[in-house]
Parts: sequence; structure tokens; C-alpha cells
Amino acid sequence: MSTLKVQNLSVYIEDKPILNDFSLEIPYGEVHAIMGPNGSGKSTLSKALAAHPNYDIRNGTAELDGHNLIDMEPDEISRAGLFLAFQYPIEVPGVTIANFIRAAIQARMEESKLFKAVDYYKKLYQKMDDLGIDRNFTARSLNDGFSGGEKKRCEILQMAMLDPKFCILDETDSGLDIDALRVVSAGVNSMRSSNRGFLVITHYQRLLDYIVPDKVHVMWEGKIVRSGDKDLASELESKGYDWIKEELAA
Amino acid sequence: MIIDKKNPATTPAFFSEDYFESFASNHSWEPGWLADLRKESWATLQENELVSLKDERWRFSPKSRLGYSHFKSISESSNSINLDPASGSPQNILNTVDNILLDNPDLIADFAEIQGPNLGATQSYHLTNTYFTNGFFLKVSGIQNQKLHLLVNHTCPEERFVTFHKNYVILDDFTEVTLVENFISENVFSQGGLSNLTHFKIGKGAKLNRILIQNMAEGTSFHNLENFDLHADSLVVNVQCHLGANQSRIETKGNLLEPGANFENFSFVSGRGKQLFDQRTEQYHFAPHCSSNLLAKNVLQDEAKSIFAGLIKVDPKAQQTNALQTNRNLLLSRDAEADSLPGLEILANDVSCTHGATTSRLNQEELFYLLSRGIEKKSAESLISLGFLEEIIGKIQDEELTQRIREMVYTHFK
Repeated sequence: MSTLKVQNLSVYIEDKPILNDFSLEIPYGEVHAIMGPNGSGKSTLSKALAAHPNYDIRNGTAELDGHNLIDMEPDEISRAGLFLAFQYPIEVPGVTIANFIRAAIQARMEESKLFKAVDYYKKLYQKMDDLGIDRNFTARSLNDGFSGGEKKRCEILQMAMLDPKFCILDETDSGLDIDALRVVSAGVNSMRSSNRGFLVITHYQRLLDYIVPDKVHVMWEGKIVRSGDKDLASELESKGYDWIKEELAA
Repeated sequence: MIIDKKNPATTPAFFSEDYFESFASNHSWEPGWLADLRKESWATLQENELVSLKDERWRFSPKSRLGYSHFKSISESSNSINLDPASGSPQNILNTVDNILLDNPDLIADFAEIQGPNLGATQSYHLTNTYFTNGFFLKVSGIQNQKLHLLVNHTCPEERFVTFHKNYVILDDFTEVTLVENFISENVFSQGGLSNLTHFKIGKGAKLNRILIQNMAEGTSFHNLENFDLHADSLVVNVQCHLGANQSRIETKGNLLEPGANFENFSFVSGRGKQLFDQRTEQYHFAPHCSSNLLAKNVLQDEAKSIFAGLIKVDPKAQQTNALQTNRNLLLSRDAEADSLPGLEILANDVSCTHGATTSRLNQEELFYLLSRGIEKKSAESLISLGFLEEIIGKIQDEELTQRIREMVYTHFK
């Protein structure tokens, strides 16, 4: 069965261990959520899986659909089907959204295939309408001067256009108001299917009211320390992370 | 005879007295004022050669690359300039200097008087005045019923020939024109040279949109010297796109002569291999209440090198001047190099003048973001670089032309 399988992963930033013997398996068709306090390693996990050069993987394996992610470059990982929606999307002045997404789609196409602009824009406009993004945004520079909400919608737009096998959403809810949260969540939910997996990283239960997970994991000091169903998120919301800390100390 | 002291054996014949005499004799049909101009320029050229003091106007520049000793001879082909045939009209004159000299040489009698930009390339300047055999003349007059859009193509000769163009553009009061100049080569293997000297006289209330696109073969040399005289309430928007030639010396000077003049000077360089781009600019404010703005952006990969030296000069009487000057460089490789020399020389006390320069490497977070979407590294670098230059390309108000320039830049990165 196709899956994202991470085993015994240890990740360092400048010789400081952040992920420590981390393991997690997410079958396609499922949505898993990771919650955890600041500094527990949630974003490190997402960046390490996407092969950010600042994250040094010293031990363990990470496989997506049979691809060994550890030995791959960031662009190869993306083309293999992993999509990371950034917590802080990067501003790229002068590069329009339309050209950026087009370049990403063309990178996935066989050389002999022709890029059809009409079909591309038809799909792009449809996805933009679904996400409540003004069509004029196609000519704007990528994330340049965007509000927090606009940036996050733009991430989901890219995800929808690239049709990945597996999506990691890194604190996509941060900086979103209630209306934007609904729209973004609807965009994600519309992509849920039996042949696509999701890992949703968040601090708050609120997002998980909209994107209901199959499993919830709690991360603490670079490891999964507890897993459960969606009720675990509610429990965390009411008891706080100190509850986990006390349990671990016991 | 002027001798290249480092390589005396390779000094080309056109530096010899005999060659000049022969050239002058072949051009004896030209008007007397032109013969005098050539003779004076030849004499000045030889006097200047005796001066060997270090020149601030060549700071950071490998000057030997910008000399003329590697050329075999001068090309006098009239095909080196080509004008859009549909662009003429009864009110406007656009013709080659070749034709003007034959039919109506008085039109360009000012050639003997006009000067500049004089930002250091004296050898190019005097050689061009001595040996120019072609160029174009444009005079725009009267009220325009429709927007005038003109095209001039300059072609660099093949092998190791050099050609000299002298051009003159006159916009009468309240006229407006868009002038696109392409600089290309006869073929991609050319190692020739093109020295181009242009004087722009912009009348009261006139508007010039000028776009220069230099995409010559990468074995060639390009010397481009241009001088803009702006009269009251005139506007020049000058956009220069430099992609080709192995070495270029580019001098641009805007003289704001009367109140209300506005000089907007934008340029980009896309350099690769061992290309050298030596850019010198001056925004000279003679009159009060004038504005000038300069933005030069350079992207360099491989071992490419750029030098930007810009000066804002404000005379004591040029109060209420508003002048900006910015140079931004993006380096894509460890061996690429950008030197920047922004300068101010302000003698008025009620002005607003700022200048600044930055040089940076590719932002790794931007690169990772593009890679994380599956875009290959080289394409990602090209996209980011093109985005960096978009601020300049976007100044051109012609969608077809901007698209062509974007494609040229994108190809240049591959």
C-alpha cells in the first residue's frame, strides 16, 4: 500500500538535535495531524522531508511511494509527489503567480508534450474562484505584499494546481481569519481522496474542526509521544500541553 | 602612429597616419566641416594617447579589454544600419547618415558642434568622430496625429572588423516618439566591434521613450556613448537592456538644461561566461526644478563582471533638484563580480538627492521555495533573476517587446 513512511529520523540544525528517532507512517487516503508546543520539531519535520539544505538528516529513512526522500533534491521530491504548504510563504519579487505555477507544471511534463495555455488558465481560474482569489492575482508577484491570508490561499492554490500525492500543511491556519480558514479548509477537503495523504501541522484544534483528521499525534522534543483519534485534539485544547509534560514525567 | 605598447605587432592599421590620410582622401566628397571634424578628432586622439595618468573614470575596469588593438580593420558597410522603412512621414525625417550626407548634409552640420558624454572613453569618442561611416539621423517635428514608433537596427560586423556609428536625434518642441534600437551581429561567431555615439536633443515639452536592446554575439565588443540634452519640461525615459558582447563600455549622460526637465534612465545587464559590462552614467542638473532617476540592475553568472559608476551632479543654481540613483546587483556564482561606485557632487543647498548600491547573492530561501515546487535549479535561478530584472523590463510600455526581452533573458540563463 502506498504510504509516507518515516522511520527513526534524526535531524539536526547546526549540530543541535531537533528530531530524535522520529517515526511516523501515514497511508494514502488518511489525514493525520501533528500538534505540539513551540519548538517541539513540527516545522523541522516538514522542512527536513522537503530537503531544505539547513536541515541535516543524520539518521533514519523517509519513503514516499517507494522513493527514498533522503537521497533526493528538493525539486525531485516535489516531482515525486510531496507538496509542502509553507508556514511562512516566501516573497519572490517579479515572478508572477501564473508564471510560477506554469513553471512548476512544465517541470512535471514530458518534454515532447505541449503546454496548453488555454487549458492551464481555465483550470487556474477555476481553482482561484474556488479559493476566493481575485483573478487579477495571476499577474501579481508571488506573495509580494500579500496579507497572511492571501499567502495561505496562494499555497493551497499551488497545491490544487500541482495535484500532489501527499501534502504537508505547516501551520496553514496561522494568520487566517475565520472566513479564510473556512475557504482554505474547504480547498483542502475537496482534495481529500483515497489516493492522497495529508499531514496537517497545527497548534490549535480550530483547524481540525474543519479538516477532520483520521489520527492526531502529539509531538514533544522531537518525537511522537502520543497518538489517538480526533478527540485527542479536543483533550489537548482543554488540558494544554502541561498535561502531556506531566504524563511524560510520571 | 598610435602604438599599442603591450602588443606593438598587433596595432591595427587604422591607428596609422597613412590609413587616416587614405580614409580622408576616400571621403573627400564630404562637406568641409566634416573633413575638419575628422581631422581634429584624429589630432586629439593622438594627443590623448600621450597621457598615461591613472584615470578615475576607468576605476575597476580592465581597460585593455576595451581597447581596439584586437581589431583587424574598419568595416564601412552601409548595411550596418537598418531603419524601419514604414516609419518615415513627411513631417519627420529618419534616415541613415550615409544618405543624409549625400542628399542634405546641412541637416547634420551640428555634428561638428555636439559633444559628450565624455565620461572617460575618449579613445572610443575620438575614434568614432574620426572614422564614423554610418549612423542614423532622426528629426521629429510638428504635432503628431498618432504615436510615432520607430525602429533602428545596428549590426556589428563579422570577423574582427569594427564599425563606427554616429547618430543624432532631435525632438522638436512638444513632439513625442518611441525609438527602439536593436544591436545585433552578422553572425554568432562574430568577433567584431561596434562603437556607437548618439546625441539626443529633446525640445521643450517633448517626450522620448527610448529602448535599447543589445544582444550582439558574445565574442564582440560594444562601445555605446550617449548624451541627452533635455530642455524645459521635457521627458526622457531611457531603458537599456544589455545581454550580448564579450565586453561593453556604456556611457550615458543626461543634461537637465532647463526647468521642469525629467530624465528617467533604467538599465539591466544579464551577464554570463566572461562578459564584461562597464557602465558609467551622469545625471547633470544645470537648471532648477528638474528631476532625474536612475536604476541599474545587473544579474551576473559564471565569471561575468560589471562595473557601475554613476554621478549625480548639481550646479549651484539648480535648486529644487530631485535626483535618485540606485544600482542593484545579483550574483549567481562565486566568481561573478560587481563593482559599484555611486557618487554625488552637489553645489546647491535646496535639493533632494539620494543614491545607493547593493550587491547580493541569490536568496537561498527563495530558491528553496521554487525548488520545493518541482522547478529545476537552473530554471528556478532563471525565474528569480528574471523577476529581479522585471522592475526594469516593466518600464517598457509595449507588451510584445517586453515578452521578447523576457524570452531573450530567459534563454540567456540556459
